[in-house]
Amino acid sequence: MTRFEDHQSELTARPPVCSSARDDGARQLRLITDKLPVLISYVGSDLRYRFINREYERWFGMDAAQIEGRHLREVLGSDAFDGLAPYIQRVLAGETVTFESLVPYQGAGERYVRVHYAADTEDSGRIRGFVAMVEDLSQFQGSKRQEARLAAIVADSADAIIGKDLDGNITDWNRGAERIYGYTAEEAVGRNISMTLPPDRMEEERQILDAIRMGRQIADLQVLRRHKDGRLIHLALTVSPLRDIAGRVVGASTIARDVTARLNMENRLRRVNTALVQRRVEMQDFLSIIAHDLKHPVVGIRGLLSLVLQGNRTFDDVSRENIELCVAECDRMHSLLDRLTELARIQRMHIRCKTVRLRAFLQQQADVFRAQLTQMQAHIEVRCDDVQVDIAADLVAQALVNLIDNALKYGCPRPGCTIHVDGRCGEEDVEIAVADEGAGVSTRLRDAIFKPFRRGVSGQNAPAGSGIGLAAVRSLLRRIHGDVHLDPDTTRGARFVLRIPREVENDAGEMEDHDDECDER
Amino acid sequence: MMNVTNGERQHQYVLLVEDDDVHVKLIARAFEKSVADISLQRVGTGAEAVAFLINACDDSEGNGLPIMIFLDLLLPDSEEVDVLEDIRRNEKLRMIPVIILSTSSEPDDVLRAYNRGANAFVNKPVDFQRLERYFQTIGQFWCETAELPVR
Repeated sequence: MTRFEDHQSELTARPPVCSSARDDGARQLRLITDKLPVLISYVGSDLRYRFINREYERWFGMDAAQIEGRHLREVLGSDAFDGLAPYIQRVLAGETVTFESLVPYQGAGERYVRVHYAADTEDSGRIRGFVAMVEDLSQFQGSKRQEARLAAIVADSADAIIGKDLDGNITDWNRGAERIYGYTAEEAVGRNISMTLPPDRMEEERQILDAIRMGRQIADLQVLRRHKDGRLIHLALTVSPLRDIAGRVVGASTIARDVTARLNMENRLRRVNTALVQRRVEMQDFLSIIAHDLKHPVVGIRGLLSLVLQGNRTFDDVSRENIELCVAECDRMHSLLDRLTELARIQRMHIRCKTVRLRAFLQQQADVFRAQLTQMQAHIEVRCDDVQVDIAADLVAQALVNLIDNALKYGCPRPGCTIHVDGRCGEEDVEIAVADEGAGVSTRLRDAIFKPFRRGVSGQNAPAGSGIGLAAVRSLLRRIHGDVHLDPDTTRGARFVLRIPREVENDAGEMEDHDDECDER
Repeated sequence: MMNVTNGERQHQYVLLVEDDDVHVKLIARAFEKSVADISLQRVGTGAEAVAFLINACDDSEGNGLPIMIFLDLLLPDSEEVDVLEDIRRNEKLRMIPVIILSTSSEPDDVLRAYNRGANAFVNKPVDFQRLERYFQTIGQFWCETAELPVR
């Protein structure tokens, strides 16, 4: 075999093709080095180039004449040279060196390369220099990196990721699987997945593998499995077929997530919710019963007092006035009980989501007051875009009627007043405002007016905008996770703003009959 | 059982089912002011009402039944005895008009009463003058205007 350095002078000089056998050999060698898409060079022990191939010239944008004879540091650049120096030291010690690395070449830029260095050793053991071959892997680097990253993701995933063959024999077992099942990879790989099955669930795994054999994926299957320590764990499994290069199913990958904590939490929430619903129903029944039972004697006392007044005309003024006060107190008691009943009734109202055209819906509630408006010479002006919304329409209608009723009672002090009802549809909420032209609400009472049965607030000498109406409105709105507030920036009259969530859930489970879907109207 | 009109059972009478003595007194007062020639018989519980009516059916002359029944909704035994349902199920009683008198005006209560065959639902007003007016209206309609099955 022709030795590389024998041809050094001819190669460098690029002689014209000769017909001699020796020249033939040189030509072939030249062809090989120039046609391969790799960098080939010969470097002397003085670290100066003796030979480079065509690819080398292309990389560094210089021809052989410019490179040969120069020191590696000059051509590669200091950064690249310093990085390569330890490998070069090894090859100059006689070792054959192969490595992959990202190298910042001067002139050729940063490249991810695979490098082979082979020493040129004399019989005496002296190193004359070395041959270098450099492959540019930059084009593969992306996918290689991705592979490495993917492997790291699988290894460190908190979910269990398991590979198994079609008989259920475990082939891969990541750290998530170690944590969730309690077996180390060493213990698990090679054993059968059935070790994680409770005895009564063996059939389940067979069905899973049958589906996999047919190429089907099983997604989000809730199963019960057994931890190494014997306790049962709730898992959500996704099992997918693994295929070979010909597309044949050869195994399965399982991703398992521990949902025990979530299920326990869900069960607890369900129990607490049931208890709350139960208590609410009991509370409503209680309210309703006491309201009714207390009304009975009030009606009786009130009636008897009327009889006393009718039957006896000889009362002195003081006695008559006292009896009349008793009658008034009965009336007050009766109206309080009415409000209590009303609150209980609101709590029992069904929440049903309906699709409505907002403008028409608002106008409809305003129309309830048509006769009253004519009588009072008042007006209601509805301002709203014609949009379609999903809201708990019956509940909202009830709240709105209460607000308008309040506005008419307390917010229209003279003929010709206008009540503004403004609708606005946001991303998550619908906002409805009812503004009147009354005296407004003093700052001191802003919160109190929403509370039922507040002494001095509700009742006959109540200030503007108060009464059970507002407590009822708030109660209604809170049932659908909305609210009502008094606009603090209004300078004239009172402006109440309802915030109504869109697309509420119908109340399920707490009423005997309920609908799960929105009614399309 | 108390005979409110304090006399022998007259030919035409209305049965009042009401446990509260004060309410009985007020209703009787309002009723007698508005309706002439018709007496009021009172029973205090659902069980008494049912027993009274069944007994009245058995009257061989067939004229022992009330022309109308005033029924309070919440009776002491209303959990055990459903007077309205018993009346509507009984062939000999089901034609008698039943008017519910209640302190409740809960929409649910009203609806339930009509669904189970009540002929009218009247909310007992807190104001006695209004109670009198109500009974005038009831008397005018049920005892003068309407033709009744029991005479």
